Amino acid sequence: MSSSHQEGQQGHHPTFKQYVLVATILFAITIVEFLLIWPRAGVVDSLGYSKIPLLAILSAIKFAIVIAFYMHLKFDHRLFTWVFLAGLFLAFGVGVALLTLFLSLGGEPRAYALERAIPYDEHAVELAKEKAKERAAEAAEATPMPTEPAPDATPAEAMADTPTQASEPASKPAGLDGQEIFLGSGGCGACHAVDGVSQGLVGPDLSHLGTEAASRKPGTSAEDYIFESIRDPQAFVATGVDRAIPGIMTAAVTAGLSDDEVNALVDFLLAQK
Amino acid sequence: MAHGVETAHHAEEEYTTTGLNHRKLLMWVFLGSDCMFFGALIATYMVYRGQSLNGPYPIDIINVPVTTISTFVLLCSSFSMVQALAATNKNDQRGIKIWLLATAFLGAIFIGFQVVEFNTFKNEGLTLGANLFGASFFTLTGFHGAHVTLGIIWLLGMFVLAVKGRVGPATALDVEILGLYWHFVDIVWIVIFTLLYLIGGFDAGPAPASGG
Repeated sequence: MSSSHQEGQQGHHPTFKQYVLVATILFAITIVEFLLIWPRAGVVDSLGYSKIPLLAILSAIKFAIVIAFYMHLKFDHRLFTWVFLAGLFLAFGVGVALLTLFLSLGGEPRAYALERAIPYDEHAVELAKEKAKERAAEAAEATPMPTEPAPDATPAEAMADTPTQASEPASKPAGLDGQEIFLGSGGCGACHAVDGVSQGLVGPDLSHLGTEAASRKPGTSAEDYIFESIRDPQAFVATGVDRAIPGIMTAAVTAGLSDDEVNALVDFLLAQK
Repeated sequence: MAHGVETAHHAEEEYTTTGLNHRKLLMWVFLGSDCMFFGALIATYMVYRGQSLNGPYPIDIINVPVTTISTFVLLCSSFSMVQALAATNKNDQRGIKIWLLATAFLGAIFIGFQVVEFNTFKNEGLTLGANLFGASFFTLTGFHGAHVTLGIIWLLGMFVLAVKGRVGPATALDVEILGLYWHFVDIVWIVIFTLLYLIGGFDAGPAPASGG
């Protein structure tokens, strides 16, 4: 109705004191919500998954209080409520339908993501260090190897080596299988596809790298180019290669590999014609 | 004030089939549709939650305490908006100006928090294109921020009218509709804060692939 009608409803509007009370309740609920999830408050661990329905209920209460009092829907014409609730329920329905659709895939998207996940850079560095330690321990236990993998090879040291010197195929020790490293300790197969070996979809397909590598970087041989691309992936990123995304593949990802292992990988990749 | 009464452009006896003011009903219909807009974005975030293939993940960068503070700021702005409407109804000219400006100011602080947050995330490597988390997070919170920004502009416009003495009981409906929009932005944030920060803020990335 007209604005005179609005004024006629003043009696139904909450008073200043009631508004302060409403604000206090909203604040209190927010503080409780924060304490529920903040680790130092010490309750989040004992709650487990029950924190989610708890938080949902508390938020729903806040939501309802703001609508009922601040937006004074409680005191207003019912049509306003129905119009708003229609939109709200449709939105809720869309959300539930979408989530059901995805969850009914039986968790496949999650498994798909897990299989192909690249750890965040920091995690990757830690992981590489752990692997290097493990390898060093294994090497110490096992029968003496011709060359021991350098467990403390940092990206900086590795980059300091000029690829031309380090990548002599002749320096490759016997016993290191490039394909094994590609799938195993190197973890390359998680992101890179090689026909008949791996199906990674994140990084460039390496199925024919043996024929393509020579022309990738002008003035650099196929061996040197592949060696550099593993040791210091961001030093040179070839153009026109699918999924060659700078920033994902960094020196940290391969820091755990010794030069011998990288050379074994180079040999393996050169064989992919 | 007298000026305000004269320029009240909604006639006292406006005829409507519902018996309700058209503009107010329109605002409620818009808010209902905006529910669906944000509902779709929130559902998208929830579907993509935990599906990112690379970092940064929420636990690496989401700062729950800081965002709790900005949530308080937004709740405060809802309270001051209510006071602005109460002052309008009482024709408390000083109150109208103070509470409108306070609401706009608090809204601006909230946006300030968001700008700093977005900038921090960008420096940490989370961009719109970094991963599914970045795409769904920035789309959702960015659109909410756009709503708040629009609300601030609306509030400042109303403040200018108030300075000219053109806001009073006769134009209370204008302030009320502005208030509805502002409170709606607040309740959307209540939902976003719970889902993206309280519940989703501690999501870690997938465990590093074992042995590739």
